[in-house]
Amino acid sequence: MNEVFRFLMDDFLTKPVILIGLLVCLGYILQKEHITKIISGTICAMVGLQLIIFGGNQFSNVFKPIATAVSDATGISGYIMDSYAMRATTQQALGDNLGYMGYVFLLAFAVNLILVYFGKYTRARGLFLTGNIGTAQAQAVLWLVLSNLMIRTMPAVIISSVLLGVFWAYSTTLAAPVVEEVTGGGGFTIGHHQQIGIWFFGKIAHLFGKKEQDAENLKLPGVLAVFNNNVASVCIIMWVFVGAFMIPLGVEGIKELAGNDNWFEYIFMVGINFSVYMTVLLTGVRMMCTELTAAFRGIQERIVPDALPAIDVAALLPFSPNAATLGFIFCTLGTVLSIFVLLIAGSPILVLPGATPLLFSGGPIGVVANKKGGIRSVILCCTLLGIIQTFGTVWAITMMQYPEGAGWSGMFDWATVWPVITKLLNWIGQIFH
Amino acid sequence: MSTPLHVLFVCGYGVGTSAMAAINVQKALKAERISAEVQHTSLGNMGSLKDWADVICIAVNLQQGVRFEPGKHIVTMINILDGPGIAGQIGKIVDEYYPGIRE
Repeated sequence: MNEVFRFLMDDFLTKPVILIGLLVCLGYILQKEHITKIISGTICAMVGLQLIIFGGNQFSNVFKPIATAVSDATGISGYIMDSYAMRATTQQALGDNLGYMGYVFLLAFAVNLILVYFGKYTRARGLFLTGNIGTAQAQAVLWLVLSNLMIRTMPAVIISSVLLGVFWAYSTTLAAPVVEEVTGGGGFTIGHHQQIGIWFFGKIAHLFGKKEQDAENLKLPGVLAVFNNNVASVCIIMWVFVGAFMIPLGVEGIKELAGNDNWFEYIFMVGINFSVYMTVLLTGVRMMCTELTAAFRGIQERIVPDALPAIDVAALLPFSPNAATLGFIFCTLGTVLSIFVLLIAGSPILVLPGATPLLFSGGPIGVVANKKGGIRSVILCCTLLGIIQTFGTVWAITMMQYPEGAGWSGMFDWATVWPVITKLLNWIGQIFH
Repeated sequence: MSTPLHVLFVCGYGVGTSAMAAINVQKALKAERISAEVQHTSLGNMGSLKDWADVICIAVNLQQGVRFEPGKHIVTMINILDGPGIAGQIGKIVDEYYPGIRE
């Protein structure tokens, strides 16, 4: 009996997938769902989490041998800047603690909800509903708190939840006026990885051009639409950047990596495989997070109907499709320029952009810039965005406390605000140890 | 009871905006007395659900370069949080092509 109890408490119940499954199951029971929904929904969430873990690990496994080979050849450590790389890094760093991410996520939502409920006094208006993003941030903040403060899990969960909940409440509120202007009173704000970026560029974008020079009057080459397709864009972007990253290895070095395969086939399959594992990851996110988003939306409508729902950043893109495409292009340009600066300066850390920051930071900032300052502002703001994101991510990577990870977010807030918070956490941790 | 209308929501990664749109529109469709089943996916994975869908709701920025077979009903979304507006567009399609579905 004792042994069964010990197995349950020390082993079974601490496994991330079980912990998350229990949480989801409890949620369904509290919502008085039908028994079939309780069973199927709980299993779907658990399978979803396993898909995310599997996809993230494989994502790292494709990249790590390349990064190691390049590091051996040149002394430069390469990392991927993509929010899904941050997910992969922090899930590996947390190990069996990953399951506590679920508690951070729910408690942070509760903190955010309380701040908005008392909005008259706290001035917070935005409520973070984006389950697909919130879970990734919950595990990243949990890891940063655990590794920098060096405290036990439970206090770390509490501190992470408060930090994240306060960040959600005020970052979404800061972005709200800009989002309202861009969407013509769309009735929402953004809850993603770059709300502070939307606020920042909302403040400066009008300086760079006239909004009458609207990007929507342009005719862009139709072939660019290929980047709208996530499966294709991940593959193409990885071919370009990881391919370029492998140049110092030469054909001989790549042959060594390829083993029995042809070296060209190896490079070709790297892009394809990144896209495979990204698709696996996204399938997992869809299975685990959709119900969370739905539940949060329900709670928001019931408890704080006047709050601004903070939703996924892609909601901005339809308001200016051309500006979104141009934003993607010039964010890529700024990123590439910064990578050359890193190379020339002899930086020991190099970052390679994934699809997510280019499409989902570059795109929306492009839409904001176009609304405020037209096409010239799109060009300048998004180039600047790429520069800030690249250098900020290098800074964040020096502090991620897990050098063997595949990479870090690469999105504006995680290249600016969160590295500052990480630095503060690190100082506090050093004072007490 | 007739078979419910199959509505597919499509966004870039198929995890954020399409999910939120589906949640909002499903509620608004109920108000329109249209029984519907909804799913959401990414543009890259849309092919696997195209046959299932009666109506495809897709953000305007993603429509460029995408070809749909004739006869497929497409609803273009700008504000994905505008559940009633999108449901209204679906309602027009229902009245014209699936008149049995509205209760």
